[in-house]
Amino acid sequence: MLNRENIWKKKWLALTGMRLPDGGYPYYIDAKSAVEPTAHAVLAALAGGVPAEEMAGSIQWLIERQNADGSVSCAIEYPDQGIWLTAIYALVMLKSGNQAQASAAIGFLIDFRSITLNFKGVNDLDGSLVGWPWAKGCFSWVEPTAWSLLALSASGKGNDPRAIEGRRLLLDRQISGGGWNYGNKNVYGHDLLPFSDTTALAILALHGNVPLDSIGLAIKYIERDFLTQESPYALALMCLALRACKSACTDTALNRLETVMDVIQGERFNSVHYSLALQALGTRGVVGE
Amino acid sequence: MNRRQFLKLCLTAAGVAGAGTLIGRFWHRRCRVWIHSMDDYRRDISRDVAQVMELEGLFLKGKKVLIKPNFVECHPGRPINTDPSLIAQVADACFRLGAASVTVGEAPGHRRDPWYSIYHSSLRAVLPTQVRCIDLNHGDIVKIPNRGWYTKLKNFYVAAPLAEADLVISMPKMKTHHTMGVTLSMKNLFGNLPGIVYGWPKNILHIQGIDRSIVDLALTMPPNFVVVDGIIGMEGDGPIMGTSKKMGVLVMGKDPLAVDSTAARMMGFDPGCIPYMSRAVIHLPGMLDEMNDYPAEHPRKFASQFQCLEAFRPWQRNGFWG
Repeated sequence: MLNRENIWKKKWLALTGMRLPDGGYPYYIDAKSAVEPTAHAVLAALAGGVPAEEMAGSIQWLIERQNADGSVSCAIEYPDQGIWLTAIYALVMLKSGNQAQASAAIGFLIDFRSITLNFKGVNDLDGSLVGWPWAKGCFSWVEPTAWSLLALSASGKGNDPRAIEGRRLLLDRQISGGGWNYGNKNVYGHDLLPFSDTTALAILALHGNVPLDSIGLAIKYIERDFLTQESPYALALMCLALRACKSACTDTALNRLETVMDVIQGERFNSVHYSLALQALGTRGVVGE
Repeated sequence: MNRRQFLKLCLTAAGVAGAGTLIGRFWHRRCRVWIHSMDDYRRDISRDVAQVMELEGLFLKGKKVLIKPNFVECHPGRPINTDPSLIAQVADACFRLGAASVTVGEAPGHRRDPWYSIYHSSLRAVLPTQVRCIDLNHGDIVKIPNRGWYTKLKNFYVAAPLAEADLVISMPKMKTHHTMGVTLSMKNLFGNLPGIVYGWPKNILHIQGIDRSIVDLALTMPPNFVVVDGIIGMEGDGPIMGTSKKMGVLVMGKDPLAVDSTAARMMGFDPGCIPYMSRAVIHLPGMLDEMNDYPAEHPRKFASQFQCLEAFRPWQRNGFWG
């Protein structure tokens, strides 16, 4: 019987098959190299103990995408689009020991602020809190805020005023029954439903930095949800969160992920999902630890 | 007034009159909206859909077709998404007309996880194997200039498979919407834009104004054909939290505003109150009921008021036919 490390190595080969000659990874088999899949492939490699030199081409491909202001966009030809990716890029640079690139990216993130809004009874949230938006000039949402918090914590800036306010913002956006969706907990007095992926990501960003009881319901939510979860993307993020929280369910959830990730194939092979699953299955904690 | 000034005035007047005539003709161009009775999703309507597409002059032979449903979140029992079996039937209709390839693509605006939308087993299980499902939120992107001017956006970024398609068929669900009153084919255009650029939700479009963004998108990338799933719609707190509303109807046509305004009337809404429709009326034909032809059945036969949030009740006037 294969142990988890051997299983990881076998699955890693499937991902390396996606690597393009330029060193980058695409989202899908017939697409061009892109920042997010390349960044997650590097994080997966680090989680599985792949030697850094094996990923040098991919890291270099990422470094070449960094803009002068420290940001990274979703495509080199559109330098101002998709700059929320800077947070994931910063995390890769920090974990792979590229301090100069990491510092520039973190500097950008500190200045990258969401706008504030007054919702006046439509949405029950504190629109005055500043977090991170998906794009310049926009409001704050759960996922870009969570990734930015993870990057700031990894860089030692977990107590920066931006990080402190970002955590307050995430707690404010938590749905009353526990968990998060994209960042809107309530509309016209009705609670919205939590999502497993964003709940896991928010837990990863908050765990260890906020009182445990403030995220207790959310942890309970994913501890229940993983048992029936069919999305390998959500399950991978949930495994990362459960492991970070040292949940007793972690091993069971990882076993389920091993099985479920087999559906990532053909037209449904999104390499980000596959890489996140490998990050969860890897023995070396990288994201959120 | 000298002769030169007189000539100049005459030329200006002629220009204004000519432009007015052209705009007037466009505004008053007759549109056809096809209303087909369909009691439930079991009935095979692919032959009928193919026939309507053919009558509307859609040439699909050898073309790459992209079907853009409204398939955003899967919650059992909630009619949030265009029904998978209907998508399969429209795909089948495209193959009947000789389409070289049919792809189903979607970029949900709130839920990033495609396993709850375009990858969901309920969709894959019923589609023919040669139909590909594509997550338009992730992947290569293409910049296209904004042909509208209601937002300050110079360009839109769309997923490459959408830009590369020869024909796009929009398949919205007939639903109420908690900010726009109703969501149909024009609102469905938000799902053309990739989340990796616009985020989840596509907040850039909210900041620019949802109605303004819809009109700019409708002017920039109008679908070639629309099939509205009105068999079971959603009323109340749509587009996600509402409840089902049986209508038993398909609404089809080539002109998005004609189809949407007809569907809105069937739901009991005055299209003139729907912000994006009232903006689009000066650019797109089909808003005036008297200028629309209904070659199949008359929408009056299926009209039934949708429950909606309190804020939108004043918009539910003059919705039905007399």
